[in-house]
Amino acid sequence: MRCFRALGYRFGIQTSDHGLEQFLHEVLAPLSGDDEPTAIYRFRRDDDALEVRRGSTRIASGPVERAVSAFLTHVNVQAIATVENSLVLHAAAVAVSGRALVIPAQPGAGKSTLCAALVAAGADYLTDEAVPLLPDGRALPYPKPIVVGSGSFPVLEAWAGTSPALGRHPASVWWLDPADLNRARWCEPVTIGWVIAARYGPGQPLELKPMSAAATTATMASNAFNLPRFGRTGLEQLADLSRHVSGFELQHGDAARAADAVLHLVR
Amino acid sequence: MTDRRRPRIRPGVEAVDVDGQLVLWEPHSNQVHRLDPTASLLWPLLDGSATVTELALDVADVFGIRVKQAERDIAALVESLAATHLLDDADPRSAPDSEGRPTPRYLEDPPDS
Repeated sequence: MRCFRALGYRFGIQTSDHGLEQFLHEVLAPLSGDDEPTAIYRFRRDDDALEVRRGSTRIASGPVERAVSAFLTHVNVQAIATVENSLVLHAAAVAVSGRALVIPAQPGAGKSTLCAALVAAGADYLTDEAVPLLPDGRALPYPKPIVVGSGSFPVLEAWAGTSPALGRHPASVWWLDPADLNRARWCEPVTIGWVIAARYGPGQPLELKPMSAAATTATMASNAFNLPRFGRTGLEQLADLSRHVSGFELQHGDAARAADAVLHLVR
Repeated sequence: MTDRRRPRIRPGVEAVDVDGQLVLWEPHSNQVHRLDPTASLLWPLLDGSATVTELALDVADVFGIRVKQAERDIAALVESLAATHLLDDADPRSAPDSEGRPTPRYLEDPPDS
């Protein structure tokens, strides 16, 4: 059985359906590893429906894309839970010139789309979901598949045709692997150079402006999964980090244009 | 008019100074707030020992502004902090009439919230 690793979470997948197994291996390629799994997900396909179980617990059931997305969400939650000694930001991140560009944001803010656009424009990939911060302030990559919905497809033309597919229906989700665009997936900790508070709004004009260290601290703290575990120590760590990075506010209505502007700024 | 409220920071609220601006974390709601530089200077004074009017007298003296102006500004700060559950003992119902004047904005929300 092939094993996958999501931060400290090691899992395997099992299915008797060869086509489904190949599809899942493609989706999970960014998480391939050699360790022994500590959890096994069992997949069963019935026509266009998929059921996912871990042990006796049903994780997901329904149309393939929805079930796979729910399975990946489950993996994310388990992966983040394995990080005990570090603050974890809800953030996307890419690497530019050897330094991390971190985009903390709530769900729906468009961070995965902006992350995919940055990778398409030449950045290397760290994550589209979670950034554990090591005590020295470096970011630990979590190079899971980039997940984007159909609303983002038009601005991510470079990725067209790269997402694995299963089933007869047009895709409503893409699972993207930066290796398909010949971009690196980083696995080693990276020094953070920039923090960007990004906000997408349809039709919104592009605006990119500096953000104070206090605003950068507040942005990261507002998007830390586990700030209560660290309390004041965590807040101080974020304040210290904010003094050593460049913070920016980004508003945009087009991820591809925003990615070009951001890379122009930081290169 | 005397404002007898004695604003006190809610126990457990953590504050860190980042280049002259305080970033606050309220653990009960797990909410993060950012104060502007003026409010950041006033924050340490909110220990429940002084009334809004007494605080205004001190602030007016230190900053060379009118007491009434200082009182209005501090009352506005107290109300915005109370509204975000950062104060333990600030009852907006006992606040004096603001006389319809615009109130300053002291809390700066994170840009992505």
